[in-house]
Amino acid sequence: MNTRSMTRVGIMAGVTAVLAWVAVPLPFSPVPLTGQTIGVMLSGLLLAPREAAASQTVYLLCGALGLPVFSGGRSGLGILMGPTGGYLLGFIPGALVCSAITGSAQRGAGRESLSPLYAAVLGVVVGGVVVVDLLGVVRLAQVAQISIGKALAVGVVPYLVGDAIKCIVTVAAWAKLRHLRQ
Amino acid sequence: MRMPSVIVGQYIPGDSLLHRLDPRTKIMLSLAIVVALFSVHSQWSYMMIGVLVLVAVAASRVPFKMVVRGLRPIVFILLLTFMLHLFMDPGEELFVVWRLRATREGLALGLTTAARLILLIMATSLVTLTTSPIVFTDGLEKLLNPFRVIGLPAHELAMMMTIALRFIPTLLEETDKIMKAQMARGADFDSGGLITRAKAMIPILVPLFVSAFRRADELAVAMEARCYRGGAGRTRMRQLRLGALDAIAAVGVVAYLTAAVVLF
Repeated sequence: MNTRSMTRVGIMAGVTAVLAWVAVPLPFSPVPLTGQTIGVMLSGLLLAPREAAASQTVYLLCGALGLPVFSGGRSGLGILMGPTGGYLLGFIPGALVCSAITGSAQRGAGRESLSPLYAAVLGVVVGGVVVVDLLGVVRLAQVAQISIGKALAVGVVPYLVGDAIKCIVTVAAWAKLRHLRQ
Repeated sequence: MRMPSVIVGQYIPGDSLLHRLDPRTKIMLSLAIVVALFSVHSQWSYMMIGVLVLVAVAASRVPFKMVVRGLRPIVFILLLTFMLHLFMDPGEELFVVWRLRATREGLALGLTTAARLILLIMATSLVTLTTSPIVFTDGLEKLLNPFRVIGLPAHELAMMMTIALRFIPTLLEETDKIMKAQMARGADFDSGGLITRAKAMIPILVPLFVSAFRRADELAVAMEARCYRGGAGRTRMRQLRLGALDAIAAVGVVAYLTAAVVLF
């Protein structure tokens, strides 16, 4: 990994932490719109797959060592090991998958492949929502010893509207930032 | 915007037994406790591990209040899990509230699950309460070092963590500045419908990422200009050393945990 990748990865981990604190209150839900997963998705959209995965690994490690970088200023190994830790651990494969999907569209440009916009939408939905929620629900069910169905009902369904909004915001921001990807 | 103390995190400076342990010992022992918590099922085992965690809290001289504060984020999930078990698990009827049947088995499983969660959080947050982020990063690099043979970049990870730590306050300030600059141009982050509020995030995100990438590239140039060439051959100002205290703690805790798992 060259120095330029390392600094980009480190700073994207920092940006994810900052976004976790930007909370937009929603009128209809007790859970605010937090930017944490926007950081995950934009890492995936703007970095190479290895770098994207590394940036989220670094982010989680920063949280694990006690810096209040998770949403709501939470931190500590306990949060990672706890019932909602699966969502956080899902950030690593999530960013990786998002980057792999969008990267393949960029390389295939000109040939018969997905247009970059569709690839970005597909990337954020699959990487940022499906992968993250999948790991989150499995871990929630395991730690809380409840069925997958119940875990889905408490851990995914209430957040779907927020996730959709975040995906739209992310893709809109990506459209203006895509030149940053090398 | 809330701005928790980023530099020190949860770390509470001190000179207790736990503070003096090597970070590697603390990380590995807290993982051992987590593994033990997931491999036991009897309430006696939970009680034994609970005693161990309480002894560790006492040995850390961290105010008990601070340890309990670490539990606040999971209060809701704790209650929800307990209720789900109490009212949804099949078994012998205990009492009925409206149309919900509480069962004896549900009560038992709900209590043990709650105990497991509480001990999990307490054991792991003790590590972060007694280890400063810089020392933690050093310990982590040392722990991950053996995995270099399978291609895990231990030094690079530690360096990237240090970069993230260094730049979080800067980026936070930057975000604040961008928000104020956009507000001066008439941006409104606190009113309007859902779509308006979500859209208001875009003029923050775009400048934030542009400036973050610029900073990253400038930092890379600065590091290379100072001959940064990775971890190979690096010397350190602070050396980590494993002492007698670490050996005693490791042997004692592992023996105790083994007993807790095997005995019941």
